[in-house]
Amino acid sequence: MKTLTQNTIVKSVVGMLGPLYVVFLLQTGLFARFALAGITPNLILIVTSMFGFFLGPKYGMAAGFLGGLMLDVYGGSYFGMYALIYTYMGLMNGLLSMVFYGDDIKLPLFLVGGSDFVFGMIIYATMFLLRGRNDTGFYVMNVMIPEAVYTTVVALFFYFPLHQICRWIDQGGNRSN
Amino acid sequence: MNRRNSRSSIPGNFILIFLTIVCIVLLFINYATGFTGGPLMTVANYVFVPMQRGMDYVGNSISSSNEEAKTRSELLEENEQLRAQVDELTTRLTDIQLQQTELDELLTLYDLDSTYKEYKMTGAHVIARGMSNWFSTFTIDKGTSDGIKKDMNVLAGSGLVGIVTQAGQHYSTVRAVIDDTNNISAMILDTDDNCIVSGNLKMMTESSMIALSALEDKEDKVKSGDAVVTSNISDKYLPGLLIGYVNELEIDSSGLTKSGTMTPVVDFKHLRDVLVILETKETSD
Repeated sequence: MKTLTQNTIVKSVVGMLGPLYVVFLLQTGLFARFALAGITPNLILIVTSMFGFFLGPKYGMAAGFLGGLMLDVYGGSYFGMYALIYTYMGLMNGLLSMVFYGDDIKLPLFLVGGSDFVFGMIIYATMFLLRGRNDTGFYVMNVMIPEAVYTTVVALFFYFPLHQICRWIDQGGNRSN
Repeated sequence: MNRRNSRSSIPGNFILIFLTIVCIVLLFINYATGFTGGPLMTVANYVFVPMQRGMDYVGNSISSSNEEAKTRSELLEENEQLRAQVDELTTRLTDIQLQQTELDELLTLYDLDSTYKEYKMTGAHVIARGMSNWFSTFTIDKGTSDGIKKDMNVLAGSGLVGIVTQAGQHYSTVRAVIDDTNNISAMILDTDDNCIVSGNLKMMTESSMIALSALEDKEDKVKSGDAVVTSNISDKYLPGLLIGYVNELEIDSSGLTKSGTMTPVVDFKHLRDVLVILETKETSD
């Protein structure tokens, strides 16, 4: 059993905050401005999901927590809500990557799409359904599915850079669980 | 496959439980004290805001070059529409000017000048939006250092955009009128009937409208096209700010009130610059 060396800690922090920072700016800046049919892709979730998939649940949770916190600071309605949900999305992806394993690009993309749909469901169930917005079909067709599809397509472009970053963090080490 | 040894001595379960507890504690603190980030907001001021301003500039230049590429026929058509609008507005303006003089005279008679004072405002750019597809919140590039405080009203053009929900030093977050969780106590301008305007994601996606409810209109005076403004009994919104126009109304099943849809006056999809009123409504607690 290895212990965390200073080097790996620095690498993990830089390798995680860097992409989250870039992706956050892209999501709230360019992608939001040129939203397709009023839908913005969930780039933070792409990073969370990929970190979980490539590096295991711990990294997934950490990336999700940090990404969620960024969104919370920037105007979530309930401070800590996004951090909580994204942490669990990272965990889910980390655990699923142990069940399905492969270097194929299709699998992580599928996981991103699936995660985004589940994410939408959680937001709907906690913040919409509870307030009496019970037309589930509408929200599935008009918000969740378009967002999941758009996010999956965009994830295609983020796959290789994120894969490289994850390999850089993981260099010489093992996947952590 | 099986070389997934634990790299660190901290087990995953522990991290999970720790992060979950942190999040839940944050949620409780937020609920109890209205805490929205504290020191993290200071970090955001210096780390995100400068870059977001830059991104905003890039985005602006891209979309303005897009606009330059409009075809001639489109421009001609638009020109024609605008001319028609100018004609219509000029007629209305003369009408209103006449009424204004009358109003001024009456106001001086009644000593009511102070109620109609002009609000002090500051302009700001929208630098970030799209935090999620479920809520309509956005970030502007001015904060407490420019005099902005929580609960200040935000306008664009002549209409109400939303309300400041948190203010950092150099940025603030605004919740739009069309946000699904937003409710405003409003009234119909012509008849002074009170009603409630609430954002609605479903109506917004389907037809770019928001909901109007609890309107007491016993004499059936309110009609489609009537202006809806913030009411003077609202506790957070200053009175008389234009929200939009009534679209359709139906009598509720109770038979006492009406509800329906209204069109907001602000174009939320192309929002770039807003005005913040540097005044919060004073309510006695």
